[in-house]
Amino acid sequence: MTTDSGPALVVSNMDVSYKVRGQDRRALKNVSFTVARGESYGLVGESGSGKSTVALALVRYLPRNGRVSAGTVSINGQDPLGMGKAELRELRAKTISMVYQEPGRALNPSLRVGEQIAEVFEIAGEKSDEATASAENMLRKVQISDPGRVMRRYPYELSGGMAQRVVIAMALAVSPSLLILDEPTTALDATVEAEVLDLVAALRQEFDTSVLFISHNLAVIAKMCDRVGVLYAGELVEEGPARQVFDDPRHPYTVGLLRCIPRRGQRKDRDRLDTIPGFLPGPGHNLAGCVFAPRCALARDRCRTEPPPFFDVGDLRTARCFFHEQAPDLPRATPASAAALATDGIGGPLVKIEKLSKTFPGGVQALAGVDLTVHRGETLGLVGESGSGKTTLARTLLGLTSADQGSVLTLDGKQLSADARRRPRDVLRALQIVFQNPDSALNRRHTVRSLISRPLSRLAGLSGTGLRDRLAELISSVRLEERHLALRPGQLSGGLKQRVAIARAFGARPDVVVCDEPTSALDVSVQAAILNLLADLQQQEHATYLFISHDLGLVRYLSDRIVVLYLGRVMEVGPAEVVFTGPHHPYTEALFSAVPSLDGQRPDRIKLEGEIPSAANPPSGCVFHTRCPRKLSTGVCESTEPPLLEGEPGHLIRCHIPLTELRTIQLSESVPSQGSSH
Amino acid sequence: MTDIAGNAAPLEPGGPLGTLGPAGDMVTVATPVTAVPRSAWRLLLRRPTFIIGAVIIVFWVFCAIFGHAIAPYNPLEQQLLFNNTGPSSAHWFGTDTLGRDVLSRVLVGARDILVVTPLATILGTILGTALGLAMGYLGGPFDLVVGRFVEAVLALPAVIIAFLFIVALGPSTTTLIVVIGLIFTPLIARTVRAAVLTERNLDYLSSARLLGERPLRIMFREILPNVMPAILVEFTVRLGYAVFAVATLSFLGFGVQPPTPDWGSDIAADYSGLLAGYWWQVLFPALAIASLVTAVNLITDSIEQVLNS
Amino acid sequence: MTGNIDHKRLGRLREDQGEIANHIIDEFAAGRLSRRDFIRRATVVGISVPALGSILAACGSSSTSSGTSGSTATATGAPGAVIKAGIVTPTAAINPVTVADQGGLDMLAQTGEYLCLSSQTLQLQPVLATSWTPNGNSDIWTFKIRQGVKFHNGQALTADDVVYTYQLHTNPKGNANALSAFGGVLAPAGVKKVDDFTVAFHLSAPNGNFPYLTSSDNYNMIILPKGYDPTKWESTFVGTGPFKLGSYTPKSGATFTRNASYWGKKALPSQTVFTFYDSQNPSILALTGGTIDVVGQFAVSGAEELLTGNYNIIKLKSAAHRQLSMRCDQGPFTDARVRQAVALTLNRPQIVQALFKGYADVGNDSPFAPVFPSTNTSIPQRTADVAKAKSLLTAAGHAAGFSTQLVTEQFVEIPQYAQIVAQAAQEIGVKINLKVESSSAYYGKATFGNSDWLDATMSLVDYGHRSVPNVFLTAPLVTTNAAKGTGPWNAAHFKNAQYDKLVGQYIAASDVSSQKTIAGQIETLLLDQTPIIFGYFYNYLTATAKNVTGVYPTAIGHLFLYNAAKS
Repeated sequence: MTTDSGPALVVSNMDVSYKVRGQDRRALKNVSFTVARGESYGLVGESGSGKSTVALALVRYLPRNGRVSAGTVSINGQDPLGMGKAELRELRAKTISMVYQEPGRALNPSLRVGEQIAEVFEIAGEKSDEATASAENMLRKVQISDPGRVMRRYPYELSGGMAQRVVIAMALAVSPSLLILDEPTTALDATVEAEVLDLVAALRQEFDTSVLFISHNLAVIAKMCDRVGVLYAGELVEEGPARQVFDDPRHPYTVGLLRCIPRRGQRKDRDRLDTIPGFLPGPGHNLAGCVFAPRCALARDRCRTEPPPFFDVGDLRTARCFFHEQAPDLPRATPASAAALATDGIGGPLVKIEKLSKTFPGGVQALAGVDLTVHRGETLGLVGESGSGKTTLARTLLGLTSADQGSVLTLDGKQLSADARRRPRDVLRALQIVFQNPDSALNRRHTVRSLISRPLSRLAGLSGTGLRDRLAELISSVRLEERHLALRPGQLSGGLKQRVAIARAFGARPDVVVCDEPTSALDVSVQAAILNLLADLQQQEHATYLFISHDLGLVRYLSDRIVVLYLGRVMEVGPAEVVFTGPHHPYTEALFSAVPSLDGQRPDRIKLEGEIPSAANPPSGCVFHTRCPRKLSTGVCESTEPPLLEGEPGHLIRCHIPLTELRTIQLSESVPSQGSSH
Repeated sequence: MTDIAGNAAPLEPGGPLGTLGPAGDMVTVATPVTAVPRSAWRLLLRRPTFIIGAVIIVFWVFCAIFGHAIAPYNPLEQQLLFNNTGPSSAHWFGTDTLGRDVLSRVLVGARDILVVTPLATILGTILGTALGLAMGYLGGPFDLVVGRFVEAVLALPAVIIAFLFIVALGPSTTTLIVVIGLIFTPLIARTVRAAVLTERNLDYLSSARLLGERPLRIMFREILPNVMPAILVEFTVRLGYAVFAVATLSFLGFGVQPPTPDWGSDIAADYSGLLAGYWWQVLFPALAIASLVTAVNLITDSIEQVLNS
Repeated sequence: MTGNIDHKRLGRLREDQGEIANHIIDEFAAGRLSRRDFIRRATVVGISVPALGSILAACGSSSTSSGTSGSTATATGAPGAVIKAGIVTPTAAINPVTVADQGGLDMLAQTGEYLCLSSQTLQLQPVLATSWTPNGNSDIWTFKIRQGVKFHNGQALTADDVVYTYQLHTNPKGNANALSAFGGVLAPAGVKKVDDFTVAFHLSAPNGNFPYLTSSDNYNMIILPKGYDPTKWESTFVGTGPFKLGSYTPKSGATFTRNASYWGKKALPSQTVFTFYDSQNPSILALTGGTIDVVGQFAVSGAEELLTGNYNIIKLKSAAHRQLSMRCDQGPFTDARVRQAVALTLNRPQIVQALFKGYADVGNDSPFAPVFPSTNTSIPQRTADVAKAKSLLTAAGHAAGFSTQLVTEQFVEIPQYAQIVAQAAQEIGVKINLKVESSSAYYGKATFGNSDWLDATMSLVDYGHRSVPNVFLTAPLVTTNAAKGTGPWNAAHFKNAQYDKLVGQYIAASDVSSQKTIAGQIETLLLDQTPIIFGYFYNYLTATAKNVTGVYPTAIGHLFLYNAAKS
C-alpha cells in the first residue's frame, strides 16, 4: 500500500462510454470527486444518471462494451485503470469492497454462508480454522445474534436483511480502505433498512473505512453521508456537504428533485407536489450546453450553448449552473396549491371487510381476522413491513386470491364472491387496481390503445364513438398523448407506463381503486407526477383509494385514514394525522422512526429487534411482543392477544398499554430501552 | 463483490426504468426485451452463421421446387446394365443399384423432407403450444394429470411411439407428419409450460382476470404473444430434430415409398452396398441430410443468440 | 446321352433291381432321361451306388464324373482344423420336432443324421439307411438300417430308434413341423419294425418320391434315440453324426467337436464354431475381417464384395424365388392379356444381372425352376417384348394404360425388384405405385382379408427353396377352398379348373417322364394365364475364405463341415 494519509479515492475528469451498435455512447462525462480517508461520500441521482456506472468503472467491472475513455482514478494512491489482472485481483481482494442492492447476487447459492465468509479470510491468508473463527466474529460484528447457526445456512434460507448483513460482513472482512455501497438497502423494508444503515454507520466508525454510498434515495444519503454529489445524465451537477446541499440546494435539478418529495405537513388536498418537466436525455446525447437545460425553468440561451463550469458557491460547495444564485427561486412546474382539492367527498362505508383471513398452503396465515371499513371517497392508507399482509389484503379484496371460509367482503352492502371469476361484470368494474410494477401489469405485447380500450369495451360496455371519446378523455386525464396509443409498453418510460396502468384502472370508472405501491418502481421526479395524477383523478372520478405503500411519507401525503398491519393483523387504524402525530402503537412508532428524513434530524430511533416472525407460526399473545420495545413486564403481552380498542373516536390501537399511557411515554421519552416497564 | 464480474451490466436501482442497464436507452426504449423486433432481422442478417444456414436451406428449397428441372437425369430412370457405377463425369454422384443417377435423386429427394419436416414441426408446435398454455395457465389437477402423461410419453423412446402410430396408420407422408408432430407435442408443451409459468405470476394476468376475461382469451391473447419467442426458438430447435426424425423414419421405410427419391429411404435401400464399396450411394444422401440439419441448427443458434442479446 | 449300350450287361443289372428301378433304367436307356436325371431318380428308388456305376457303364456313360460321389466322397484337406462359420440365428429352441427355420435345421444336422442325404444335385445318398426299396406300387418302402452305429450317448442305433423317431414326427396330434410333409402320406401306424435293422413304411397312398421325405430335405428327420424327449434335445444335441456338441448358447453360437467313435469316415475338423447373425451384413464383415471362415448363406444384394474372386463361392441352383401375383379377380388384371402384357415388359436377363450379378436363373412364369428334374425345358422362355405387350393391352381395352398399386415387403432385393417392375410397366403406360412394408405388416395374419400379401391387387412375395415343386404348384395357384384347405396362399386369386386338374395329375405321377409331360402342360397354361410372374430363381450361395475347402451346403439350408479343411 502506498499512502495512508492521502484520500481514499480520487476520481478526476472521468469519462465512460458504452459501445452500442458500433457507436460510442457517453454514460459519464468529466466526473471528478474525492473521498477523503474516513469520509462517507454520497452519490445521488435518478435512474440513468450513471451512478452505478461510476461504481463499476472504479473497480473495472464495466460490461464488455464499456470503457473508461478519459480521466484518472486513484484508489488509496493506486491506479486501477492501469493494473494488470493479478494486481486488480489483489486490489479487489484487499483494498476495495462492494455491496450491491441484491445480496442474493453476491452470495453463492450452493455454499453455506460460513464457508463463503471464511473463504474471504482464507484468501487474505488465514488458516482454515482461524478463518472460521474470524467469520463467526465478523458475523457478530454485523449484529447477527447466533452466528454459528447462520453460518450453517445456505443463502436462500436467509431473509433479505440478514443476507445483506452477511454481504456486509464479507465486504468488511478484509478491512478495506474503500467500501462501495451501491443501493445497499433499496430492496429492504424500512425497519430493516434503518438497521442496516445504522450498522454501516457503526462499522464505519469502528473500521475507519471510507465509504462511497450510491443511492437514489435522498433521505438515505442525507442520513449516511458527510458529503454528497448529485449526478444528472452522467454529469456531476452539484457537490458539497450533505446537510447544506439538501437544505439549500444551488442547482435547479437538486432543487426540483427535493420539491418532488412530499414533506411532513404536506397533504394532497392542500399542496401539490412539484415535478420536473421533460425527460432525462438519453446516453450519448449531444447537448452543447448544460445537460439540464432542456428541463430547466431558469434556462436561458447561454445555458443551451455553453456548458457551465463548476461554480464555487461557498462552504466547500460547487454547483454547475450559471444561475446558481437564482436556483432556490426556481419557478414551479405545477401550481403550488391544489385549490379545488377539497375532501368533500368522504361518505358512508363502501367496502366492509369482516373477519378476513387467508391461510396459504403450508399454514402461512397472511391475514388473521382483519376487520376494516373503507368509506366512499376516502383514501385508506395501508402500511406495514413486507409480510404484514398488505398485498394479500388487496388481492383478496379484488378476488385474485380467495379468502378463507368465514371471511366476509361486502361492496355497497352486497357480499362479494371470493373469486374474481365469479364476480359479475359491474362488481369487476367497481374494483380495480394499479399494480406496483407496470412492466408486469401491462401486457408487453399489446399496444397502449388496446390496453386502455379493453376495460372500456369489456367492463364499461363501450364501443364505437363512445369508446373513442372515453379513450381520448382518459389519455388526456392521465397526460398521455395520442401518439402513445400505437406504442407498446416496452417503448415507454416507467412513468408513462404507470400512467397507462392508471388509465386502464380508471377506464371503467371504478368505485374503489387499489394502489399497490404504485410509485415504488419510479424515480422521485416521476413519482411526484403520478401522485399528483392520482390525487387529481380521485377528485374528478370520486374514486375511493386503498393505498398500499411502505413509504410513510407518501401514505401520509395521500391518505385520509391509515391502517397499520403486522403479521396479518390490524395494529392500528385511525385518521392519518392522528396516527402520525401519535400516540401510536409501538409498532407504528417503530415504523415511523425507521424512516430517514431529508433534514437528517432523526437522531433517536426505536429499534426493532430481529426479523418479522414467520406467519406460519406466529408468536403467542400479542404477535408483536417478540420485537416490541415497550413490552410489559407483567407477561400479559406474551399470553394474551390485546383487543383492538378505540382510544379516541375513529382511532383504534391493538395494545395492552392504554392510549393515555402511550401518549405520555412517547412525548416524554426519547430513547426507550428494551422491555422497559410502565 | 464475488460474483458480479462477468455479469452483464447490473441493473440500475429503482426498478424497471433502469432495466436496460447503463447501455440502454433510458426513456424511450427502442428494443423491447422479449419481442422480435424488425431490427432482429438486421441482427440476424449480420451473422455469418445465419447466412450460411439460410443459403443451404434456400438451396434445398430451390431443389425441392425445381429439382426435376435442374437434375441432369430423370431420377427414376433405371439403367440396369449401368448400376452401381462410381462417380464419373456422366454421373457425378455415381449410380445406384438400379442404375439411377444418384445426383438427380439427391436433388429431387429434397422435396419430401422439406415438406414433411416443417409441417410436422408446425403441427407439433401448435399442439404443444396449446397443451403447454393450458398446463401452465390452468395449473392444478389438469397440469398434474397431463404433466404425468407427458412425462410417461417422454420416458418412452420416440422410435417406439413412432412405430405404434405408423403400424396403426400405415406408412405415408401424412403419417410421418402426424407421428413426428405428436412426438414433438409433449416436448414443446413442456417448454411452453415453463415459459407460461414465468408469465403466470405477472400482474397483467391478474389485470385480465379483473376484466373478467375468459381463460381461452387469457391463454391465447394475453400469454401466447409473450411466450412466442420461446416457442420460436423451440420451433427451430425441433425443426433440426425433425429433419433427423423424418430421415430416420424414411430410412426405416415409413415415409415416402419407392421409387420416389428420398434421402432416408435411398440410404436404407443402398446402405448394404457400402460393404461392396458403393459408398457414393449412401454418402451423398447422407451429406444432404447432414447439410440440412447443420443449416437448421446454424439458424437456430443465430435466432437464439439474437433473441437473447 | 446314350452311347453304345451293352444290353447284355444291362440285362444282368436289371435282374437285381425292382420294378420301378427297372423302369427308370429303361427310360434312361431309351434316352428319355438325361444322365443327371437318371442318377437322381435312381438314387431315389434305392439303386446302390456301385450298381449305378455299372448301369452307367453298361449304357456307355462314364461313372466317374460328378454326381454320385459329390463332395462327400472326396476329401483333400488336412484334418484338425477349427472351422468357424456364420449362420443365421435360430429363431426358436432347437427341438427336432418343431424346428422350422434355417438356423435351427442347420443346428440339427451338425450332430444328427438322416436316413439319407439329399445331395446338392438332389440325389439321395445313404446315411443311416444303407438301402431302400419300394414294393410294386410304391406304397410300401423298406429301409435297411446301418449296423454298428452308436449315438453320442453310447446307445446303439436300431430299428426301434427309427420307428420311435418317425412315429414322433407323424403323430397327427403332435406339433411336428414335418406333419406338413407327412400329412396324407404316412401315419404313425404305418411305421413298422421288420427286424432290428429293417423298417418298413406303409404309406397311405402310393408315392414315388417317398425317400425324399426320409432325407435331409425333410430336415426335421434326424434319428433320435428311442424314448428321447425332443424338448430336451437342445441340452445334449444327441445324434449319430460326425460331430458332438461342445456348447450351445441360444442367440449367440455353438461349438462342436469331432466324434472320434463315428461310424463312418471321421470328420476332418477337430472343432467347428458357429456364430449366429441376425442379419447378413455383420456376417459378411466377419468373413472379410477374418473372424469366420464360412458364411452359410448370403444374398447377392449387399454382398457384392464376396463376388470379386477373393472368396470361394459355392453356388447351388435352387428353387427360391419371388412371386409377383396379379389379382385375376380384380380391376384390369381380370383379363389374362393384361397380365401377360405386364410379364412381357420384364427384361429378365438384365434383372438377373442387376440384382444377382447373374447368380440366378430366369423364370418362365411357372414354378418349374430349372433345378427341378421334372421341369419341361422344351417350353419356350418368355422374353421382353414391349410391342407385343402394348398390343395385348390395347386389345384388352387399356390402350391408354392404367394405374394400380403393388404392395410388397422390405426384404433383401425385393424393393428393388418392385421398382424395376414398376419402371418396366411404365413403358406400356401402366403406372404402378409401390407400397413397401415391413414383412410382418405385409404378411399380416396371412389369411384372406387380413393380409396385404393376399389381398393386394399386385403383390410381390418371397418363396424359399423346395426340393420338389409341389408346394409352389398348390398353395399359391390351386383354387382357394377354405373347407378343403387348398390354395391358402393364392394371392393371385387364380381359379382355373384345368390347372387344378393338371396339378393333381402331376402330384400323382410317379415317374419323371410323365411328370415332365404334365409339367409342360402346366407351364403352357400358366404362360397363357400368367396369374403370377416368376421372374427368376436365384442361387443358394455360400462363401468361404480362399483357404477353406470341403464345405458342403445344401439348398435347403444345411451347412455340412465334416470335410472342411484349411490350407
